[in-house]
Parts: sequence; structure tokens; C-alpha cells
Amino acid sequence: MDPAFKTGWKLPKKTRNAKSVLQEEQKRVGSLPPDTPTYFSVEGPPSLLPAKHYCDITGLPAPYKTAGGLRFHNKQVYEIVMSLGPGVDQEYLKLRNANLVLK
Amino acid sequence: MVYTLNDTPVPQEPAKPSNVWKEKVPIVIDMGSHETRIGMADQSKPAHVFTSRTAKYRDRKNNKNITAAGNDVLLDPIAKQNSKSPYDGLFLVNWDSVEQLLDYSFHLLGVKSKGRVKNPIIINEQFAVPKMPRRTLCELLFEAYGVPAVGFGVDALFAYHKNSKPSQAGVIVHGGAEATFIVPILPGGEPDLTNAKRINWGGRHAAEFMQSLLALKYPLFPTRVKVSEAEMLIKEHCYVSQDYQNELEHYLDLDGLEGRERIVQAPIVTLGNEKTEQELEAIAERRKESGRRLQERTAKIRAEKLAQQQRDLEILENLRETEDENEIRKNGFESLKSLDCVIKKLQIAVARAQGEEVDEEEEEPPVLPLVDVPDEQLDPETLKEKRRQKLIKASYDARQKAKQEKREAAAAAAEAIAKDDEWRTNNFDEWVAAKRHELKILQQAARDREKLRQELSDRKSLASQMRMKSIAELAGEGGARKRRKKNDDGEDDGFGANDDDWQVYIRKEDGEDSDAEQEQERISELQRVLLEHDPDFTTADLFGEKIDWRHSIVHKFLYGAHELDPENHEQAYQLNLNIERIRVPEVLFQPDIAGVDQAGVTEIVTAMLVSRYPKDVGENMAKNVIVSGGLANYRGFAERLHSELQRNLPSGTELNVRKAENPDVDAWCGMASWAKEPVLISKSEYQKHGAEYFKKHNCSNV
Repeated sequence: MDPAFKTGWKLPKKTRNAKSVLQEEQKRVGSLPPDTPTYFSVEGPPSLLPAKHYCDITGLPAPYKTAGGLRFHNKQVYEIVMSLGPGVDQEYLKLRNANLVLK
Repeated sequence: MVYTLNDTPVPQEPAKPSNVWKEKVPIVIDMGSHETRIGMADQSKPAHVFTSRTAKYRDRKNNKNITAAGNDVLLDPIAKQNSKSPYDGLFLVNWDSVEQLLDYSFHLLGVKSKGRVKNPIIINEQFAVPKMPRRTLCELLFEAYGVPAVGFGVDALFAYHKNSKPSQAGVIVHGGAEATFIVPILPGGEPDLTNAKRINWGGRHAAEFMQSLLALKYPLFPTRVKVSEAEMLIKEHCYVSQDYQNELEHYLDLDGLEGRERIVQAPIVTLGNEKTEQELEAIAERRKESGRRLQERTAKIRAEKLAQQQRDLEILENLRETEDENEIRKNGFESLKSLDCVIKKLQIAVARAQGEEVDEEEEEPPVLPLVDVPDEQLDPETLKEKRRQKLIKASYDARQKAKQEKREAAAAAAEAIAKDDEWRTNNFDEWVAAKRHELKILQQAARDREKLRQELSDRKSLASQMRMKSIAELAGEGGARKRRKKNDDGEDDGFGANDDDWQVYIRKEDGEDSDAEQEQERISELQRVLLEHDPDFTTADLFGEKIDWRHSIVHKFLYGAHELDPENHEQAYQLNLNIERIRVPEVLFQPDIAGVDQAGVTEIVTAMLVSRYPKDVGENMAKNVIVSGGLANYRGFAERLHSELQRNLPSGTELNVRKAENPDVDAWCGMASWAKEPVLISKSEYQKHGAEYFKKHNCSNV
């Protein structure tokens, strides 16, 4: 039952997801003058500074990298890296979106 | 100090309406993706703050539809599990949920008007929001609630205006649950949305990041850390490092680590705790009882067997006493001798059963008269018998030989031990040195073997390549032979003289061959005697040269400044937060840490202040940098931003970075004070121009 303060008007079924909202917005933005601020134009730009590398396991500074792309701090951490089960290295890489995605 | 792992606090009871509703006063709603704050515009702070979640599900048991919104969702575990957010990422999409939250809000405020909500509504919208969500929200408010007017605005801008003088220039850094916004405000107070930026990292991402970090750090942790718990961990233990690189490098130094680490105790869950202690006792009792019964039964069977054997023995002994060959033959025995043999066996068995020590007597050599008689002298019948006797003799001889060998080996071992003892008593130092040396060599060999095994498992390692080379050479036999002839005139190249050459043939899988096992046994034996006799050799040495935990960065990372006690049940449920404390908040300054390909907060603000505007405007803005939203709650965020900006800006620039007064509610308060002179869209305007009609103001989108 509706609360007393409502008119009884029903919103047409409109549950969407973010993706469809963005698609619609993309269409709309195409027809706008170029420097109108939109969801897409306010997206932060990529960094121009050199990225520092950190150990994927511990977070410490990491001067080394394995063949699989995992960064590690020192020999002790390397031993851990070598003992990781299958797929765990990808889980670590996923933390910084560097995992291999099979499509 | 050990902290506890906390979840979002659950209210004691459903929220009660505050009934602060008044006619004509605007209702202010700040519906964030994490929390919703509501109140009347004439209040100084929001009347209600609740989590932006709603639940709607059918209770099959009672055949009832259950709806809940806000903090009431947290009261019911099933509702909590089924709860939804009105947002998907940054956008309002789940309109059922929006409507439910609005209903709940008006109910809590105690709206009394019938048929419609007669108050103007001030409601927030996300920064640079797409058209669709705003249009739907507009429709919903005007049509379903019949409100007279609506004012839209961006919460970040309201928070800015709450914290600065009217029409002052500046920059607002506003961090929410889904994203962080950085908006420059021009002199006059108007936001410059064209140059505003969004970093796609918010409180929710940080909590999920923390959750994944912990799941990977403790893969065997008995319980799973929930996102809501990770969120609380960040709130309670994380802070922004003022000098990340430097602090990071020394974070795990033993010196002072106890002060830096945070030990968090998760609730201990014991498996099968549904059973009470009494039940457990009863089960143990039952188990004991059945064991006892089993024991009794076997004892009984054994006793019966013993009695039977004793009876048999008695009968046979009586028979033996008659010494009547005929009688004996009648009872199935070949001769007196074979009867004696059986009696003897029985006697031993009985004595054993009665628990007496019986020396196994020397087996008498069997009488085998035919073995030495040449075949020619025998008829077929006796020849057969001879063959049988030969077999008996062979097995008897083998048994004797084995016994002899066993005796000799025992004697040799005893002698070796005696010799070793003598050596030890006479020249202890030399003995210890020798044993230790042997142990060291064996352990080194074991390590080398392990290393080789690992290297062979890597196809690109030097060891693997050498092995492949040898195999290839062996395979190309013809060529190899030719070459050998040429070089050595048919002489052997000496391959195989060295034992290590044969390693070539050992397959990778055979790494743990019998040799290795024997060596391992010898290692444990050596360790045992050293442990027994050498006062300097302690259990700590047992692990060879295993590094002390104090020097192990991995140990300190996982367990902090304490030795791990595998028996300690509480420790198994402890999380040790150390580097995570600064690693998680650092993402806002270096988004690359979490794989977000965007510039950090400092870089973006610096670019705004230095290169986007004329010098005087930039300098004006630098005087008023405000940090608000959830991220302002990170300890040290404003200070870090201040020191980094100071380094990047031209020297002499006056800089002022400060945290919003009340980061959580300032947006709402800003909205409430804006409601005094609002820019509203009235119902008639809505009806005339449609849902996309919009009015621009200082706190709005465009």
C-alpha cells in the first residue's frame, strides 16, 4: 500500500544499469558543443609522471619483475612468488588491473 | 594491543520517525551512494542519516512480502543479504529502490500532507550526471509525490560553499564512495565544470581493494573478511603517509614495528559449535564405550583360543606319554618326532598367549636322509620324496643364512655404536666437529638437489638448457661418435667416471629418489645424536640454516613483530595490518597502485592551479583548497596534499589546504543553507518545459 503522501502515479519500469545509461549519454553528447562538460569530459587524465613500482605481494618498493609480470621486493618474496599456486599470480596482478584476460 | 574486527554497526531497533516535518519548509535530501542524509531546511544538521540500501523480498515461510529501507535493512540478515543500492556505480538506475528510499525518508520526517508532499525538495545529483537519471528523478518527484518545486545541486559544490566565504575562489576535492571529484571554483563562486576532473576511485573501491589484499595475504584465513569489515578496517586503521616512499621502505623494520602494525582479531569460529558440551561429552563417552566392548570381545576370543590350545596340548601330551607308536599313528601323526614337534609349537603358542617371553629356540636341522643319496639308487617313489626333501633343505638353509646375516648386522651396528660412543667419550670435540661437518655436507647436498629440481622445472634456466644440450648430443649419436673418433682416437671421453654425469639421465620427477631419502634419514639421525650429546645444538638448529623470523621480511609482513605460534588458536584468526595501513589510502595519490590509469590528486590539482588559469586566479584558488566527503576522514590527507602542492607550486605561493569541518554532513548543511535562496524548478515549469528543463546556479551541473 502506498503511503498517504503519494499521488498513486507509477513510474514506468525503468531499472537500467550504468552501462545503458552511459550508452544513451554517449549518443546525447555527440550532438553537444565540444567544450560542454559531460560525464566523459571530466574523466581524469592519465598521469604524466613516471609510475613507481611496488611489490605485488607486500607493497614494498620493487626493483624486480618475474617473467609473468609480478613485481617483487627481494629474494625472500621471490621464494613466495615461486611457491604460489596456479592462478594466484593472476589474482595478484588483478589488484592493479594487469591480469591476463582471455576473451 | 589487539583490535577487534568490526562490521558496520547494527542499530538496536528500527529507526523511529522524528516528526520534524513542517509545512512549506523545504525538505533536503542528500542521497549518496553510501549514505543518505535527510532533514528539514531549517535544521542545523540532518535529522536522519542512514545507509542507502533497500530490500524487498518475499518471506516464503510466512507468505509475506517484506520491504525495508535504510538502516532497518541491517536488522534482518535476509534483508541485508538481498539489499540493493539505488545506484549502479555513479548513477541512479534502480528506481524501485530510489522510490523506496524516498518513501522511507518522508515517513521518517513525518510528512502529514495527504495525496502529495507539499514541500519543495532540495536533492543532490552526481557531478556531471547524464541526462537520463536526472530526468527520471524529476519525473518521479513531480508525478509520484506531487511536489511543488525541486532544486537540484551537486553535493561537492554544496560542501565547498559551506566551508568557504561567499563567492570565494578555490578548489574542492570531494571523495565519495564511487569516485573522487576535483572541481575548481572561479572568483565569484561559480564552478568551472569544464576543467573539473573525476578520479574513478572512491571509498567502495578502497574497501574492495583492502578486502582483496587481505584475501591474498592470508589465503588460509578461516573466515572471509567482508567488504563492510574492510571498510571499517580502513576507517579505523588506515592513514595517509606524509612521505610514502620513505615510510614504506622502513615500514617493516623491526625497530618500532610493534608500534606501526595493527593486530586485528577476527571472531573465532569453532566448527560444529552447534553441539553443546554435554552432547560432546556424551559422544566421547559412547565412543569410549564401543571401544571397550570391542576390546572385551577380542579378549574373550583370545581366551577361548587359549583354552582350546591348552586342551589340545593336554590331549597330545597324554598321547605322548603312552609312547605307543600305533596309537600315535592312528591319531594322524607320522612318528613320535612329528608329535613332539606339534606339542612344542603348541607349548610356545600357549606360553605366548599367557604373556610369557619365549626365546625362539634354534630350529633343529630337519632330518633328510635322501638328499645325499645319488638318483640312480632310487626308485621313482623315493625320487619324488628326495625332491621334496631338497626343497625343505633349501628353505631351511635360506632361513639359517638370513638369521646369520641379521645377527651379523646387529653385531656390526652395536660395534659401530660402541665405537662412536668411545670416540665421543675420548675425543668429544673431534666427534662433534665431524658430525657437524657431515650434517652440513648432507644438508648442502639436499639444498643443491632441491635447487636443481627447481631449476629443471624452469625450461629457461641454465640447468635445463645444459640438460637439453646433453640429451641432444646423446641423441645425435652418429655425429657424436664420429667426433669422438676424430678427437680422441676412439678413446673414452670419460663420461660416467664422475657420478654427477649420471644426473643427466635422472628425470625431473625422480628428484626425490631413494638416494635423497637415505640422505634425509641420515640427516635426521645426525640431528638426533647431536641434539642428545651436543649442548650447543638446539632445536632451533634443526631447520638447518632457516632464517630467523626477525630477518624475514615475509614473516614480518604476514605476522608482524612476533614469532608465530602454530598452536595458538587466536593467532590463526588474527590479521596483521602493516603496509596496508598506508598502501590503501595512497591509491588517491598514485592511482597506478590499484591499476587506475589516471593521475593522482596532487597532479590534477597542481595542473589546475599552475596551467589552467591566469596567474592571479590560480593563486587565488590556492588559498582555498578544501577536502571533503568520505576521503577527508583519512588521517593526514589534507596535510599530505598541502605538502605536495607546496613542493609543486611556484615558491612564495600562498597555499591553504584544509579539511571540511564535518566532512560527512557538510554537503547536506550546504544544501540546507542554500535552501534559503534556492533556484527551484516549479511544477508549472516542469509541466510547461518537460522533465529536461533545468536551471543553472552556483552549485549545479550544467
